[in-house]
Amino acid sequence: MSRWTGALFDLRGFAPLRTSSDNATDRTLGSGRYAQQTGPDGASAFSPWLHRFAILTAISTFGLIIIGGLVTSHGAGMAVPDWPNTYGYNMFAFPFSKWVGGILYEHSHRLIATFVGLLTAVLALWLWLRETRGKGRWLGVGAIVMVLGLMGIRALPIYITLACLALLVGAFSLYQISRNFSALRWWGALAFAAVILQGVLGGLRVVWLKDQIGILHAALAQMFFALTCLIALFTSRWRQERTTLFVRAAIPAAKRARTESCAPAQNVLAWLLPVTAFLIFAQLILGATIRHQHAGLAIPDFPLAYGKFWPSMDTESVVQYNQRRQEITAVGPITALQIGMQMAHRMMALLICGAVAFCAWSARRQVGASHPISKLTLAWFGLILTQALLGAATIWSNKAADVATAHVMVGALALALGAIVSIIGSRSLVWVWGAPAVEAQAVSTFGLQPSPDTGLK
Amino acid sequence: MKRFSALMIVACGCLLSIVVLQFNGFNPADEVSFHRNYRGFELGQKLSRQLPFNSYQFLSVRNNSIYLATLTALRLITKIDQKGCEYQPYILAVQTGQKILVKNSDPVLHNIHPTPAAPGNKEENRAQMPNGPDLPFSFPSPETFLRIKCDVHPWMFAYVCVVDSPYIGVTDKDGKYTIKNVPDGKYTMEFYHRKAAPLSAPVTAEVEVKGGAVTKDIALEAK
Repeated sequence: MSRWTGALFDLRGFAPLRTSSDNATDRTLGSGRYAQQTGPDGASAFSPWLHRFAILTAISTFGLIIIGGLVTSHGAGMAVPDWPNTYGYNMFAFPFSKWVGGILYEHSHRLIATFVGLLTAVLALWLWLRETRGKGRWLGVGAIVMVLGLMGIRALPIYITLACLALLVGAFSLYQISRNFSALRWWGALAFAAVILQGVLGGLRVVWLKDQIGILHAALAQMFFALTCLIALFTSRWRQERTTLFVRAAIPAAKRARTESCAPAQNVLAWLLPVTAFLIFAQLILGATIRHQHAGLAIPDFPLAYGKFWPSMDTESVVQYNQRRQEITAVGPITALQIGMQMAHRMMALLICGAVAFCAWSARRQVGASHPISKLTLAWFGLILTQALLGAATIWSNKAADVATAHVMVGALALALGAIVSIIGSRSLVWVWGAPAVEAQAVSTFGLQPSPDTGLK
Repeated sequence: MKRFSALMIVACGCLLSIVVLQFNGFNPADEVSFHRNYRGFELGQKLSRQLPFNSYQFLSVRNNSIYLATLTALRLITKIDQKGCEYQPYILAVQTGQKILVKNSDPVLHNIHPTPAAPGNKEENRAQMPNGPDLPFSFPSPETFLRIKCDVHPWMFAYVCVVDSPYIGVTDKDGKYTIKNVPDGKYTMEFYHRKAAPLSAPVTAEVEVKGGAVTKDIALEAK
């Protein structure tokens, strides 16, 4: 028996099952024997209400991203000069009659953010309670409740302290996740730390008047949305049923690949998916930088740029560009750097389109058109095309707020789907390489990659 | 199917809320009527500030030998008014350190958000309620076209030109200007315009003042 069977993982339970090689052969895929089993590290079984709550959190986060996008699209990020108060009022007591102009967007954003923060706290609590026992359980609960209480004091030094602590907790959660990917309680802790940090960053952007914090705020928002989507995925039946589907679909393709002497190194999907998702994230950061500098129209035409394939960026040209611009809102003159960023954004979009198209093509070729990965990557490609079209529409519509916000929305969806496809891919496509051996033993290779150490080919 | 239906309902709700926010939320009826449709505004309703081209130039007269001596001579309090969701005036010229009072004559609240770039000038964001007390601002460092904006109403912005000289002026809508009390001597005049003579390339002209009014015409042209 090869070495990797000593540390098998059961996809259905999403937790490592330390089984012997003898009884591994007794298992059958989709038998449901382990469907409700709790892993040795306390990872819990499927709970429909937990899953629904995780979906609610993800959808609410998406709504928050939309309203946040509207805030920036309307240039209303500073419409409420104080924080955590709103024009001197308690945030929750601000009169509705004063929700005018940019205040409507900014104040709504704050209220929805508070709601999402509460949902995330409940989700983190829920996950923590399900997967912990003893002192650690109540320590975690106490910490979350205490943080919520401190947030209620509404004082800047406390918020800054909590943000610093959130950074530490987030880093520790990532460490724990790297040790045990299936420990959902740490995913919950990571989400809670992220939402605290995100809220404080949003507030500091207002009171410290720093655009750079706004860019960080936007980037973290995208990460947080992807994180809530992943938690929704992890709490789903995917671990118990859908994975079996993936695996079953993958095995015939694996046999085919083996017959054709397809070397493992040729299967680029497993790394291409996360790399492409990361490219999308980098693109979102670049887009956030452009948006927060209000340089979305640094180049006013598309597909050309100032009538050329590559615009001139010398000082004389930039002066002329600025002379042609109409100042409708309070945005500063554009700079050569902003034009360069806009071009980089366009080039990156081309690269991402190509990468996602290749992912979709590669998935169909390697695991067949009916495989869920193929369908998901195809949907991903559709999203990317929509996103490209919305990017062009943003320029053509003179950066209309609704179109620009739709561009942000689809960007967030593309990143979240990229994260989901990457995770699913990394945990089902490994089967393609090791499928014949796996089929014989009817277990998955969760978490293991082909290498001389694992014995997988 | 149930889950799909629920998702569709949520998606429709989100879309509807965006539409409502977009078309009804931004400029409620109690605000200035001509800003009612923000999209319409974007499409060109509110371009008067850009036209006519020859208006609202800012200019200064520079002669190092005299303005240092008279630096504080003309320090007066000057005002910017927020009226009809617009700043009046659009361009204001002040000396360094001169006190600027910002008044709110509108029945709606505003925020006043100067966004200076020169070191020493402080970025602030202050709220001003309807008919609230005037808010004082001052900028210690010279900065041409320091932008003041209102984030509640994104079309509201104005420029303050902060100069370490009392001999400054802003043209009227016909492009005429007057700079008073200039002592006799030779001067270099600097002309700035947001489009035709930006910061990086001001138009300059030599002028000599000798016992009376001097007329100097300058033509600016956008490239």
